[in-house]
Amino acid sequence: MNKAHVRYVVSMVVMLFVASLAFSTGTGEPKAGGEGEEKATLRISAYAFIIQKFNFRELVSRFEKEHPSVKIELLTATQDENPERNMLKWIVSKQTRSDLYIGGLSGEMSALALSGNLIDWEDFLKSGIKKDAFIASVLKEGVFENKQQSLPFYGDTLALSVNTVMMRKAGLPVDASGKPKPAATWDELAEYAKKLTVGTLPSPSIYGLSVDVGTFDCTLTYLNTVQASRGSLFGPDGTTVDASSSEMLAFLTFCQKGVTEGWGSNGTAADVNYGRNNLKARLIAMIYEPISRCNESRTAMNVGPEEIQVMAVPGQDRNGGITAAHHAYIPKMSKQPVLAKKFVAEQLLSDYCQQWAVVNFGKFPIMRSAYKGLPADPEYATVLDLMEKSVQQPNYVDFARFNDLVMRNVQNMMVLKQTPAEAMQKIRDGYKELNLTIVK
Amino acid sequence: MPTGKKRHYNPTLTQGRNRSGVLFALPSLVYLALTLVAPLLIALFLSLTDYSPLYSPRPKFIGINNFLRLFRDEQFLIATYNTLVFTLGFLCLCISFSFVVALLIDTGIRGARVFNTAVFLPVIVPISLTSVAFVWILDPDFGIVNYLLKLVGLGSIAAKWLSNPQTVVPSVVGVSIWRYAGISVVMFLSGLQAIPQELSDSARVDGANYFQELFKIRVPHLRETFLIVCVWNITISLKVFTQVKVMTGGGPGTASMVLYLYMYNNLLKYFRMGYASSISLVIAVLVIALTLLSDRLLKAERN
Repeated sequence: MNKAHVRYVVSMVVMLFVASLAFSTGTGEPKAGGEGEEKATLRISAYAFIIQKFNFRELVSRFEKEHPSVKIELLTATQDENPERNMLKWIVSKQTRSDLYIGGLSGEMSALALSGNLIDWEDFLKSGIKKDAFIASVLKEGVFENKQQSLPFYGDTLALSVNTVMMRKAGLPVDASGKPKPAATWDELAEYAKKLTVGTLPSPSIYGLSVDVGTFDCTLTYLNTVQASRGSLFGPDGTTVDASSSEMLAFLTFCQKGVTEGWGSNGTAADVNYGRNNLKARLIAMIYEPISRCNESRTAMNVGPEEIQVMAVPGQDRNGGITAAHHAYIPKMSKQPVLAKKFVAEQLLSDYCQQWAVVNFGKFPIMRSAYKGLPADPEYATVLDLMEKSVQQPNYVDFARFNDLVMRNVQNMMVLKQTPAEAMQKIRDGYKELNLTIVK
Repeated sequence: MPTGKKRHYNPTLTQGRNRSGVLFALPSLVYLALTLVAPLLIALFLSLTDYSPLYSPRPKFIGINNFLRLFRDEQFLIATYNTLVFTLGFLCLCISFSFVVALLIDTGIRGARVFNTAVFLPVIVPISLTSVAFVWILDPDFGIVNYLLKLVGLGSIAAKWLSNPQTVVPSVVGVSIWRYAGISVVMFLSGLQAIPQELSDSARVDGANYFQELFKIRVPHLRETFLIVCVWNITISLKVFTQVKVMTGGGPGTASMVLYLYMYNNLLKYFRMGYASSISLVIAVLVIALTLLSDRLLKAERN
């Protein structure tokens, strides 16, 4: 090796050393960002619809402004990155690409909770935002193994979103404030739907009702109805969701009758957006779906509370339904758990974010305080009341298979491949194959 | 040029050549072993176990129980039936449609090139986008299909294409033909253009009409092309997944559940790795059997 070679090697080593020093700045163990603190990066994954509907660009900009040393990387989660699939990756690779995940329903979280891959929020609820600031039923969704393992950030339940202009036209009761009078029984609701139907049966030009039996929400519809009709989700054994009561038989019969007589549509069995699209197009008068559809439809139709309102299904104003919140959760491998919780507290649960999401997209607040500053509208009082009375979904170990079992049989019934009684029998039979232990 | 000398077998030279051959092939062999053989063996092993990484850390050996369970599993049987119905429908319709289109283009009529491009264009559109678009196109209320049917007085045919168990599989077949027919058309077209023009000319001189020429000259010359198109379409149809996942999710109920979707559900929704592996092996056996069959037919045809 001659001198030139030696010089070359030495200079390369020095350059590498200098470069590594330069690049290592700010990558040390980061702390919660603030004035004079080390630079830190917080990686947040959220579904595209959540980024849009919670105005994430604004939230990120506000957070970075308040914490100049923090840089947020916003990653759009794909549909395949639901919590369970993420968890599979975490278990195998022992790493995660995000410090904070925004999204995920409680049913999907049960497997996550079992695997012990989440950082809990207990300290957050003791020292930060207090538990009673949340709607209790929604907050409970995130409790697994007696710990708050995920934090809901928006709440939903299912009810009817109805076109009150059509209701008035059909001679159905709507009070002076624009609030529709809920039907007390399924038979009465069938009468509502018949009056709202326009055109020749069984193929009318406007349907009275669409019940959501789509891939995403069919089981939620079923669960919501069990709770609303019976005041409890469970059958005689106290563990399995009721599939034998006369109340549920009445509901399923009501749904099938709607399809055979023509005043009810089964369009959601194929297209999950069928109900909401047709409500917006004024081709369906009532949809039984998540209540977020109400404000979303108003925005799309460019109308206000005078045309689209929320209405309870029979029994729901007494017994509530089920909650269906989306959650924020922090994987154990997160490098920024403190910052992640700070972002949730300061931005996601802020009145600004909670109110913006509901006014623009119908994503309802889970913070009680956020309901106080909302515009005058009978809808908000109805929703808060329904959510306070609602209960959480059963966090079964085999929730995914339970979900498919119910969906499959309700859909088959809706397309007239089986009777309501057969659907209930098949659901009961299917229970034998599943692990229906509830993760508490 | 023959030298008149006898070629001697030189074992050292042959062994050396063999060694070089093996060395050259080694990277590919290693790659194949890692990406094909190893996963196959792992799937085979998992299919004999009860394994869910979420709930049980280690696979539990259960012999052939997964395979026995498959034949009692109503959903699996429905998925197999639907896949075979889809395959049969797609195969017959796609081949007939593509052949007719290829014949039309081959006649060289005005606009044939544009037509050719139009038929091939869907092939370059991602199947997921195609499926999303067709959910709208087939929408019973807003969809253009029902709109056009009503416009021309065929409103009675207008249907809830995707929410009716009777029309859902045919609808997915239709979408798949739209998406994949272009490839078969190209295959048929290249086969048609390889037939010597003299054969057609002499047939016409002998007084053969168009159909006689088609069935006595062209079709027999296209037997090999037909077989290749068949194999290609069978492979596509047994693998049907994206269209069903996006358009119907296997529903309504189980009306459009197919094997790949059922395997996917077991693997990524229920995390039943063992059971999903047994389904994947059944699909593999189906594909291998059909491929071997067509390979035999192809060889017989060549001989």
